[in-house]
Amino acid sequence: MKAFCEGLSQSLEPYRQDLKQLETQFLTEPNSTSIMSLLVTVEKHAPLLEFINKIIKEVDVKQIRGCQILSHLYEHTLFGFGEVKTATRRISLLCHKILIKQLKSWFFNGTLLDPHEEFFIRNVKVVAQPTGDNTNDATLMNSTAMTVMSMGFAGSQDKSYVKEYEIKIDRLPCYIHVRLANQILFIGETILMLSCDVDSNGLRNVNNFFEDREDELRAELDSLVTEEVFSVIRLEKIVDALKFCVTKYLWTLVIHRSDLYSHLKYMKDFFLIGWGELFVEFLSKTGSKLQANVTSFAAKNLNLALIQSARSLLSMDENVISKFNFTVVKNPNEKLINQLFLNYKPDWPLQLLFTPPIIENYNTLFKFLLRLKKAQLDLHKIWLSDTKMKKRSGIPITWKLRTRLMYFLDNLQYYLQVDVLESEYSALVHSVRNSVDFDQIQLAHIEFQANVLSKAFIYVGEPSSTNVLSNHNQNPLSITVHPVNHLMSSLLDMSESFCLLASSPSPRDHERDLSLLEAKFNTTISNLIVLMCELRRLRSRSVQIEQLLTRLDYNKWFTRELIGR
Amino acid sequence: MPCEMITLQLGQCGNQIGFEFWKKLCAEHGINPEGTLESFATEGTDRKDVFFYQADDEHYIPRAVLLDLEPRVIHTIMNSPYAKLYNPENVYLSKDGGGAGNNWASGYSQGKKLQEEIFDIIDREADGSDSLEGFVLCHSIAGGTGSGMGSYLLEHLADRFPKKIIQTYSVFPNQDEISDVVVQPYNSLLTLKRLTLNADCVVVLDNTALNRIAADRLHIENPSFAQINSLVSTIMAVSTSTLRYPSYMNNDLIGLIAPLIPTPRLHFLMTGYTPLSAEHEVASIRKTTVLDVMRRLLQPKNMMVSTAPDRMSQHCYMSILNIIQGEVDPCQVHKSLQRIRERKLVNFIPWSPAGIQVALSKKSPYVPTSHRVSGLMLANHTNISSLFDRCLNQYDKLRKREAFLEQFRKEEMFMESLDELDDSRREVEELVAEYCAATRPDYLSWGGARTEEDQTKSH
Repeated sequence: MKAFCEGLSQSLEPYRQDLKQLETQFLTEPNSTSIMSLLVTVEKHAPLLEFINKIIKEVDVKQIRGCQILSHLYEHTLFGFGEVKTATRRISLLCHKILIKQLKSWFFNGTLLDPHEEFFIRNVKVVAQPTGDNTNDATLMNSTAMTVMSMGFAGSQDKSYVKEYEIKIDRLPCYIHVRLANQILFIGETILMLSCDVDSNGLRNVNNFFEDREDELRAELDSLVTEEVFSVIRLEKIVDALKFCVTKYLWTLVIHRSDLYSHLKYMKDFFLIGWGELFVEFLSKTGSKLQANVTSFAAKNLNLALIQSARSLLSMDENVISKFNFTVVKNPNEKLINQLFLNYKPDWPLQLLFTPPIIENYNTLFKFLLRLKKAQLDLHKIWLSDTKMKKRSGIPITWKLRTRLMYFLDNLQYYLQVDVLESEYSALVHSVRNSVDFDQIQLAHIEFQANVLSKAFIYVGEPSSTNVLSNHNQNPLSITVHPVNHLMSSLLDMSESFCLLASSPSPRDHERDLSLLEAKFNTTISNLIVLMCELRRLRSRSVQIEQLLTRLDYNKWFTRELIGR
Repeated sequence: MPCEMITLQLGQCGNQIGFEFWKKLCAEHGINPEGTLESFATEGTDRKDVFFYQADDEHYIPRAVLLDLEPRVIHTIMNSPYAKLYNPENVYLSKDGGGAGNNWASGYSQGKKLQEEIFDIIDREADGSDSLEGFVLCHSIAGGTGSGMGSYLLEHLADRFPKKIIQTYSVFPNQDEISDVVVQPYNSLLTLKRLTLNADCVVVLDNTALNRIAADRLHIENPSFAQINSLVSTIMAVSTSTLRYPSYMNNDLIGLIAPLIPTPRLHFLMTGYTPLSAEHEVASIRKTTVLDVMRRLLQPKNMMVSTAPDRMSQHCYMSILNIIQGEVDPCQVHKSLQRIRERKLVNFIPWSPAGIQVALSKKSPYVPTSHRVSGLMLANHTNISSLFDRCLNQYDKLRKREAFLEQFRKEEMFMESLDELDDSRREVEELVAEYCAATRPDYLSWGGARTEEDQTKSH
C-alpha cells in the first residue's frame, strides 16, 4: 500500500514539476504568462490526474489490498497510453519491489514478510481435522499434502512448527498463473521445512539449499524490478531454477540421508505383504480374531501380534517395526479386518512422499492382500487335515471345492505379487534410480501406487501420470469399486465360509451347504471369467486382464466349461 | 522362528544325501563346517533358523537326526570337517552295527526294537523348536535301513505328530544297472506303500535319471555317489529356498506343497533343474532368460525322474511350480507363461483348472554361480505312475518265482504269511490306478479301485 502511494506520488512528479515551473515562470514574468499557456501546461496532466483519482477511488471503494493492486494496475497498463501508461508502470514497479522483497524472504528464509496480509500466500491455522477433504475452493492445491507436512512436524516433537500455508487466490496478481503460485508456495514451504531440520550435530544446514546459486538468484530477482515492464516469464524461469535447487536438495536428502530405497522396501514388505513370513506368523497369531467383530483391545492385540511375529523372525530391526502400528476404528458391529488401519511413521522428510492419502491407499491394498493371505492360510489348514486322510477312497466334495478355491487364490496371489507388485516395484526402483530431483521421485511413487491399485482391480479408472497428479488428493473411497474386484471379494467371502464349514467337526453334516457353496462358487467364477473376457474384448485395460486370465485359465479349463454349458 | 523343519536321515543313502544337503545349506547361509557363522554372513536376512538352531550367538546346529544301522557312512561324516556341525546326541548308530542286510523286513523290525531310543531323539528335537512345521526324511527305498526302518518311522511319525507335515526325499533305484540287492523289488514295494499312506509329500529322486543326467548332461562317465548326491543336494536346497529366504509367497512348507497336491494320495513329485553344470567344467556363461529356463524345465532330459514313454500321450501335469533364482525381471514371467501356452508345451489335467506357478526366489549371496538365472521345477505329473508300474512288474517277476522270500520269513511280520507283500502290492496298484484316473475328465467322480461295499463302509 505504501509503495502504491509512493508510486502515485512519483507519477505526479511531472505534474508537480510543471506546476513548479509555471510558478517560477509566473513569479519572474507575471505578465507574459497567459491563461492559455497555463491551461496548456496544466491540461496535459488532466488525464493522468483523472486516472490517478480513479484508481485511488477504486482502491478505496473496492478495498483492493496488497497484491491485488498489482492486478489492478496491470489491467490499466494494458489499456493506458502515454503518460498514464508511464505512470502506472512506475507505480507497478514500486509495488513489484515489495513483491520481490516478499518473495525473497519467502524463498530464502521461508518467512512471510507480510504484516498487512498483502502477499498472495498466507498462513492459516491448522484445522482440527487434518485429512478433511472439503478443500476450500479458494485454497487450491495440496492443502492436504501440506497438512501432512505440518502434521509431520507435530509428530516429531522436537519440531514445534505447526504452520500451514495456502494460496489466497484473490490476492494473486492475475498475470501470475496458479501453477506458478503453487511452485512458489512449494519452494517456501520446503525451505521452511528444511530449516526446521536439525541434523545430528545440532547444526542448521539451511544455507546450502541453493548451493552457490543463492546470490545469483537473488540478483536475478532484483533485476526483475530494474526493468520497466515486469516480466512474468523471467520470474517463471527464476522460480523454476529455485524449485530445481530445492527438489534437487530434497532428492539428495531423500536418497542419501533417508535411504529411500529401504523405505520403499518397507512399504512393499509391510503394506504389500512382500515380507510373507511376517504375515504368515502374524495371521497365525491373530487367528480367527480378524474375522470376529471389533473388541476394545483389538488394536493393542494386533500391535502385540505384529511385534511378536517380527521378533520371532529375529532378522528384523526393531526400529523398522516401531515405525508401523495398527489403529482400529471402534465399531463393534464390524469385522476387525475391515476396521484396521496400519499406520506408518515416516522418517523426516519422507512424509512428503508418504502422505496420508498415500498411506490410505496402501491400506486399501494391505487389507485386500491380508484378506487374501488369510484365506490362503485357512485353506492350507483344511488341506492339511484332508491330506492326512489318505485311506479314504474316492474324492469327497470338500476336496474338490478346496482345490478350486486354492487354485483361484494362489493364482490371484501370483498375479498380484509377480505380475503387478514385483513388476511395478522394479519399474519404480528403476525410475527412482534415474531420477534427478524430488519431483520425479514423487511422481514415480504416485504412479507406482496408481498402477498397482488399478491392476489389482481395486479402482475403476485408467491411471495416467497427469490425472494421478491432479487427483491424488481425492478420497479413494469415493471412487467406484471395480466389478472384477467385487467378484474377487465375494470369492474371498466364499472361501471364508468354506473353511468354516470344512473345519467343523463333522463336515458331512454340512453336505447340503457345501454343495450350495460349490454351485455359488462355480457361478461366481464363471461370471468373473465372462466379465474379464468381455473387458478384454472391449480392449479396455487389456494388459492386466490378459495377465490375470492367463494365470486363472492357463489350461483353458474355465473357457471349456463355459462353452460346454 | 516359525515353520521349523527337522531332517531325518536314514541309512547309507539317506545320510549321504543328507550330508551333501547340509554342506550346501552351510555354504548358502555362510556357516562354516564347525557351525560358526562366517564374519561376512552376520548381516544376512536369510532364515537360517528354519533348518538350524542357534546354540549361542555364533553357533548354528542343524535340526538333523542321523540314524543308521551300520557305521560306515556316519563314520565318514564324523571324520569329515563337518563332524562338529551336528549335535552328537542326534547321531544314532545301532549298537550291534550289523546293518539291515539290505532287507526291508530287518530294517523294519530293528526300527521297532529301537523305537524308544529313536523317538527320544526326535521328541527332544521337536520340543526344542518353537513351532515345528514338519519332518523331512531322506532315504532310499531299495536298501534295508532307509526303506525298512524308514517305513517304520513313517508309520509312527504320522501317529505321534498327526498335525505335522511329513515330506520325504526318496531315492528310487537305478533301473539301468543290475543291482546287487536282489530283494530290491520287495523293499521298494513295501516302502512305496508307506510313502503312499504315511507321507504327505514325496520328492522322487530317481537314480536312473540322475545317472543318465550325469552321463549325458554333465559328461561324467562313471558318476560317483558324491557327484550324484551333489545333484540331489542342489534339488533339496533350491526346493527349500523360498522357506529359507524372505519372500512374498511360499513362506512355509505347506504353502509350497499344498498347491501341488490337489488330492492327498497323489503326492509324488518330480523335479527338474536347469542349467546343469558339473563342478569340474568351466561352465559356459549363457545368457539365460526366464523363458529359456522355463522351457528347459519342461524337457524330459532335465527331469530327475525317468518315466516310461507315454505312447498314448494321455499323461499330464496336475500342477507345476517353478522356483526361479537369479536376476529376473518379473515382467518376463507373464511373457514366458504365455509363450509356453502358445506353443502348447504342457499338457494339463482335463478335470480342473491348472497352470504353471512361478516363484521368484532369492539366491545365496555367498555362493557364486556362473549362471544368471537358474530354475527348479516341482511337478505333479501322472506319468510318475510308470515308475510305480515298473516297481510292480519287477516285484511280480520276483514274486512269481517265490525268490528270496526266506530272508523275509525270518522276520516277525512275515512269519505267518506274506499278506503284507500282497497288501502293499494292492496299495501300489491302486495308486497307479488313481494316477491313471487323474488323466481322465471324470477323475473327481472317481470312486477308487475298491469295491462298492468298501466305500459304503468307509462312509
